[in-house]
Amino acid sequence: MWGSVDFIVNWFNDFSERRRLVRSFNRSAKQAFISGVAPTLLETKISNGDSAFRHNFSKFLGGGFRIKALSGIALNRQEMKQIGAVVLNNQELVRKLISLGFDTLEVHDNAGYNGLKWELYKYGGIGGILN
Amino acid sequence: MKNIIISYAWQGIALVEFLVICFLLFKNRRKQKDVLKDALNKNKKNKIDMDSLMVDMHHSQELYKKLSRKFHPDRFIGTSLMDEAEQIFKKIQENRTNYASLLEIQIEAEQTLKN
Repeated sequence: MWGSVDFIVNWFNDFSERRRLVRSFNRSAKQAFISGVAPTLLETKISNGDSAFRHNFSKFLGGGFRIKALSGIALNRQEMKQIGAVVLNNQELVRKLISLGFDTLEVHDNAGYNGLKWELYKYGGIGGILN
Repeated sequence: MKNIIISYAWQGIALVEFLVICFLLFKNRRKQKDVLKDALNKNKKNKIDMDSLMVDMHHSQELYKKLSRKFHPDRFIGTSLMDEAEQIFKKIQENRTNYASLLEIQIEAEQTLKN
């Protein structure tokens, strides 16, 4: 019985932490856009993710961290790659995303039809022997 | 009688020493635990700096291109600064998506490769 109570409490805790992370990203993106630091407005959403990228801690129907760029024009592959690379090179953020149940990073724009996605598990630097 | 008192005194001293050793071991172990706990708590409070992430996303590419062109080792062929230039170029490539680090590397490179 206590096991299921613990499971429910953890589920709600994780859920609120995921929302907090997304909110803080969106807030910073908005501020950067308003102050002129960023030429495009970015927005993140929680999506379904790619089922091929699932790992043991993936959340059911909520494993995708989707970054949408409100650029007005279709972003080219290089620009999308740049946005993804900044997230993937920040190992602290990637590990946090993995621990919160995300498995896929998606980047797309609001005008084009193409987007890019990465498997987060590969970029977390996971492995090695525990001390 | 005197011998008995002396043996009791020695036993008492040994007991006190044993207790002191136990106390010190316990204290040391607790201290180690506290250090780990502090490190974990510190990490919990650390939030990811999203503002710098935004700057990295939109400006690091530009700066990377500028620095990789300016401090490319090919520009220093045949000079004594070739090794330093290679090291700096390696650093630039490693931090290509980190704007703050690139700025630091730029200052360092300007000081070292000034000729």
